[in-house]
Amino acid sequence: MSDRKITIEYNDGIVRQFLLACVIWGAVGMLAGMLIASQLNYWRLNFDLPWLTFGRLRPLHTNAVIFAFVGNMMFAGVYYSTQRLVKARLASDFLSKLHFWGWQAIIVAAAITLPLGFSRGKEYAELIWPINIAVAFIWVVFAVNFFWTLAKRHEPALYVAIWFYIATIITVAMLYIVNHLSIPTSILHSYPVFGGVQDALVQWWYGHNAVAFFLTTPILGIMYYFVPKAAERPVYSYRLSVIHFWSLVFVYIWAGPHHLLNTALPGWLQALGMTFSLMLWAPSWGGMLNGLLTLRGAWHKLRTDPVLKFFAAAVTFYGMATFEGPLLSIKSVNALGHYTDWIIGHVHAGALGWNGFMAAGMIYWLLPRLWNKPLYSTSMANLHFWLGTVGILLYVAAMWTSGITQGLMLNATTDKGTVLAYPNFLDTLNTIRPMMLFRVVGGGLYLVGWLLLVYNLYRTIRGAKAVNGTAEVFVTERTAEEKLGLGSMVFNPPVMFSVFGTAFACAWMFGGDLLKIGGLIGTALCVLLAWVHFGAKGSRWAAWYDRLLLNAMPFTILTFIAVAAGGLIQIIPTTLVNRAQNIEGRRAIPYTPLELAGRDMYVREGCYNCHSQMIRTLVPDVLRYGDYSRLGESIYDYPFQWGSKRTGPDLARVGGKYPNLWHYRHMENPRDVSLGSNMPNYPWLLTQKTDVASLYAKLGVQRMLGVPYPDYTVEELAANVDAQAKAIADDLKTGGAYVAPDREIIALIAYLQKLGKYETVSPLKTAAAQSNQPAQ
Amino acid sequence: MPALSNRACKQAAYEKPITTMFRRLLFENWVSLFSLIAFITAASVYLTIFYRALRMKRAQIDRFSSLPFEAETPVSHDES
Repeated sequence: MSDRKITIEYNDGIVRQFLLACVIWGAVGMLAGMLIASQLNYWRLNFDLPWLTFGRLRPLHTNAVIFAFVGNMMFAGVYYSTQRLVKARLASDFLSKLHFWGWQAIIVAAAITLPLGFSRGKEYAELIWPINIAVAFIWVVFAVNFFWTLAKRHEPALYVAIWFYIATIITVAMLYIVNHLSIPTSILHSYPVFGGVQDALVQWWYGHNAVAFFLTTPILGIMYYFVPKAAERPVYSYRLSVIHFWSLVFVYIWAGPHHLLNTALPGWLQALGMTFSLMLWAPSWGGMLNGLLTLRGAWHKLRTDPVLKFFAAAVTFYGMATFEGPLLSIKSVNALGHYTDWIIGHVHAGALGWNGFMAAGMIYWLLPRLWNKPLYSTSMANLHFWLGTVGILLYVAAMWTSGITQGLMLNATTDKGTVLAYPNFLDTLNTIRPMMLFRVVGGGLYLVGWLLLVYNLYRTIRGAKAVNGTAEVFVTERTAEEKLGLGSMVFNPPVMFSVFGTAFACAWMFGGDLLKIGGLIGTALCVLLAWVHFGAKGSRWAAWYDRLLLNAMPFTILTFIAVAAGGLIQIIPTTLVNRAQNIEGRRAIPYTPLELAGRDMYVREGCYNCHSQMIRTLVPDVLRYGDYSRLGESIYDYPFQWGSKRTGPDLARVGGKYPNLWHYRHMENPRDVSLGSNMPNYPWLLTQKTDVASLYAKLGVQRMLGVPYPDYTVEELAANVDAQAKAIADDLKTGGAYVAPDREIIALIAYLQKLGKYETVSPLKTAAAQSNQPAQ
Repeated sequence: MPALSNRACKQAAYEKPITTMFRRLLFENWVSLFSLIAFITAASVYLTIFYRALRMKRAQIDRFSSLPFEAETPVSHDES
């Protein structure tokens, strides 16, 4: 060991920037949430303006809270703690600045494009493809900056918080890239490469793990650093934190299909999602208890210290939300809670309680340290805590009550289960309106609390001088025993036995006759040899693991394998299987060009935020909406529109249910035909012209994706659109509604009337299709 | 909430050849192995890590858990 001592000055400027951005975007995201919650009670708050409607603003709210509020908080926490844990200044000031300004530019771009209706139509993945590329690029900048800092570190050991950050960086990159694979049709529009059930599966693999690896793992890393610092005592059990990390990272990634329970998703995937969700109870509660017990001996400080108050409540909300999540993943519970406000309550227990309170605790702890000045008002911070807590409880209790009430009403039947007790969907909606109002009050209290933080922050930093932390460290050369190259990482007993064991097991399960026997013998031999080798040379196994804890890159690769395994085992079988095998006797009829244009409007207006297109395999769903949905019926849906919430009824079989005139009146003013509806008016659909010019490129992309469209010329395409549009316009005219055939409302009606149409495919045809067509 | 029984499915469907059900079963049968593999793999990972965590030495534990508490020297003012 060298005795050369150097002084490091940390880059805390970037921490301050991310922290301020978090505070500002947090207020914006919460304000957007307040507005859209109010719109559900008072439809006039949509103002008949396209860019202020619920369908366009709800994605703005979710994206602002996830990526702008929690994202900036995460970057502040990661950069502050990482520098101190590895005793190194951030590797590059330039990359740090690029990261900050790039991320803010992305947020601004999202805030402009989402209200304008530029959307990919997938939840938390709405941003259009040029912004997707920017997100991926800036994430890589973050990754390079982070791993470069690890490479320059003066502390060989990697604290568990760093593990969580590593898992976050690589997993979010993997999820984001796969779920955003698209083929552009123009500079502002694209279609995803996955369709139907594949798109649903990939989307919820991403959507669920956005919660896991964007809203949970980085915040757990922050918890493992900031809670011990605030409590001034080490984490309760480091052993438990190790188990927490590996089990959480390995199990979380498998649970995505629980968002698609009782749908047309293959049963084995639903079983997988439910099982792994239930398994999540163990690591989640292990982590929660570890966080809370870290406060042992410091509970008395909670009376006066707002930081510890926020942390203790945040970890408690984490425990509550992670208890509720697996509970909702039980198929029978999910049948009641899914598509209702119960899910909204669950999500907000996590977002407001876990993320929001961890952010507040971290900010109050950092402020005096980053500006070298005491917090302006501890009393105000305490008031913020109580306002926030009461706000969350009001919000969550209202949503529980609302969700369970509506779920029970929607599923209630009479006459021995053959007749719906509440056949009118609006009866159920209007019953929960008081609870929806309580939600606004709860959210309002939480927002007021946050604004107190903003004021407290302003008064604290006003006139204060920003300061950077410094540390004196010894420069040490790492010994050969500590280093673990990529070769040593792979060619060692634990990895080799695992690789050969898995390969033999695959041969055993999937191979032909001879391969099956070979695989079985090989698997047995591997297990036996591994056992013997471990007994004889267990120290070599232990030494490999200990060296792994000191080497960032091999550790990262191992973490990537752990998270990738879960995704691959779910997605590959569904993606590779010939879809003709799996359409359950029905195949969608491709949309006509006009219907496709209408579908793009449906996506643009964010209709999927309130309407599902998936009739579940449940009696009340079938009684209310018609025959349950089959996989083949959404085979040409790019993107899928199964939805996740029913503020309005399911639309999977709405086609032909009402005349064209009903849809016209409904879009013009929903209350004309559905008394008591809270849906916005869409007057601009009656005046704006359908964008026919872009259809040629769109159909070209759809053909690339496997939708059997003829190779229309531009003229043929226009004639096709005109003929169908004129027929609908003429039909409307007979009912007294005069609208030109080239208006958007015509295309949207064409699309809505197509929903639920399919062709029946006999088993013979399916077998022929299998033998004649290549796998898609 | 009862899931649709076979009889109820049959009643509810507009037309639904009985082979549909078997196709679903046949398709799902082999892939249901994945659930089993997934569970065994996850359990193996969990047990391995549990064992490794239990075997960590006290000195190693103390070293790791004290990492957030390495002393910082007094702060310097940011001139940037």
